[in-house]
Amino acid sequence: MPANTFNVFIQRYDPDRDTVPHFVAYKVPRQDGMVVADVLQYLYETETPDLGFLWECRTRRCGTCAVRVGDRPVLTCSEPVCDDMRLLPLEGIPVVRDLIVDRQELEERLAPWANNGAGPLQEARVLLDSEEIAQYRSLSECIDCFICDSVCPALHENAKGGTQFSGPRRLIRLEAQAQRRAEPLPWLRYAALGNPSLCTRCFACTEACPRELRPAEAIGSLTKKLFERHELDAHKTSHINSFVRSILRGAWLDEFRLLVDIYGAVRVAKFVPQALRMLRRGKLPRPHFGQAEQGQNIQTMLRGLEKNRSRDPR
Amino acid sequence: MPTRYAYFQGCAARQSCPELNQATLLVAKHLGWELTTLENAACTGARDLIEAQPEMAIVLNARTLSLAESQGLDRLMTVCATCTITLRQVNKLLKEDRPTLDMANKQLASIGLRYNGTVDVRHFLWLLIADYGLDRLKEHVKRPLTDLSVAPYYGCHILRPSDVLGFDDPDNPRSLHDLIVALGGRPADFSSQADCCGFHMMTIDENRAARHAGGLLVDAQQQGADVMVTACPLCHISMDSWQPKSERVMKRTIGMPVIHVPQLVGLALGYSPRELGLERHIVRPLEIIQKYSI
Repeated sequence: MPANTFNVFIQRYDPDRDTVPHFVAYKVPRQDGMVVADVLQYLYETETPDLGFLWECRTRRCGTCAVRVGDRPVLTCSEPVCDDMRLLPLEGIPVVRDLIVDRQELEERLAPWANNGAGPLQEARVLLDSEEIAQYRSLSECIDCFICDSVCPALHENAKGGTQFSGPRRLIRLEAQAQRRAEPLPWLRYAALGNPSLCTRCFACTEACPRELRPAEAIGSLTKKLFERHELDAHKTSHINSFVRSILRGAWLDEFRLLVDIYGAVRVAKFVPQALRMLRRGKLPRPHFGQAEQGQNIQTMLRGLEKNRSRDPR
Repeated sequence: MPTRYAYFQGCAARQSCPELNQATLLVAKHLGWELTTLENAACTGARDLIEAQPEMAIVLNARTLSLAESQGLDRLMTVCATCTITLRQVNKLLKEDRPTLDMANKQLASIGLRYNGTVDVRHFLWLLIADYGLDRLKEHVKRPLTDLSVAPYYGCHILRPSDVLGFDDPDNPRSLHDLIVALGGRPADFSSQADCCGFHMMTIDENRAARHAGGLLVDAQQQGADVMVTACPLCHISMDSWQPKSERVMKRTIGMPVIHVPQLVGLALGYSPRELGLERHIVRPLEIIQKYSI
């Protein structure tokens, strides 16, 4: 291979022609400052005019050019090239052709909950302080590249049925709206329909977001708002309350009590077979685990926090 | 490098994964690490508290950090990935944001404590690799894990977000691979090694979580792994304690043993499976127990 060229392997798939996706190798002349989008454009113009890929702005603003380089989702307009790179479409989204994924299908998949009676969203906007404006601006800079959704394990689980998770992309949009409203409740209820508690807190979206918007933390912020307004689902609410009670009672999480708090004294009986297995292995959490003295110590420490909060006019 | 560490056990190693604590203490003693167990520390509150009640989470974890600092210890050792991310996240905030540190210290003062931001939170695996060194560890290997194919399972909270954790590359983690090789074993690469185990959705939707964890185990099994190793007891609960549930949901047998990092190290150091608590697992690593009990 000439020294001034490099290999690129692109996953090709045309549903009208191919039964399964396959990789095709190409040689591309190297240029200084070359990004992945340049490679795709070069191949389209010189070698394979049927190559399916998207781009619009070339300035990291439109989000249409997202693909994977190996396992890593990137924007082709800013990703430097490397030798022997493998280009694939985003994961977990149906492929239209080659590197193009069906964004419309993903939107439609969310439609049943997205249109589900959350009411008119016409509330007055609220005046934000400078810190809040910065936070809102940050979240509102989402470019709909779908990278966060494509790496989300909870969203991928939707395909196997059961309760559906709306995914990080939709939730950061709603968190941004909730932040700037005088009455965020309709927006929060709208978000709650997307089951944010199904987020696994894995931070794959935060790590992958090309705009560094930290979607996982935005879902955490939504969770806080929903919890404070008693709008969070019952299981997650019980989970949080059980943590707080355990820590105040004995510093450590009482794992036995956690299940009772979440499922109730009757429904927790379904865990008896598992409890017996753990008992046989000598690892069944014992009831009332904790250190009461340390729980008291923590209560004393947090009392000041409560006092400060009651003096805070907010 | 320091060999004195404050040891934060976390909740799981004290309750549903006591074998993790058992193996950690054994291996640390063998390597000459002086551990001061933070008996009076508290649960980090995991992701629940830091999301829903962040002020409480900050003060609570500042208390734990100050307990280490007050004993003159500047390294706090964790054995749970979720404890690691939560403690590091709060510690980062306390070190970088003065008003937050002042707020925490105001509350800590009411119980006679103070935190000055001198503690570094590090996972057992990181200390083993970066502080102790794998070359030194190799000198202690009495029983190389020859022919043992080990699936290195990283999960999330020891990798992401990298600006909080920062030890390993989340896209291409190597620490567990390097450890397995140093112990004489063979890493069994599998595609979901850095995926989430689903623990944090377990009580929200059990079947979904069990199906997800089962998928990871099957993935490792298909790559020929004899055993999976994990750096987090919560991942262990998902994939060992709940494996029978995964098998029911997926309508198939799996039978993949999942062991903790200190147990893997302990085996190579020559300890028996019983000493390392390997018989406590729901899916017992029977082949390992038979092979290494001799």
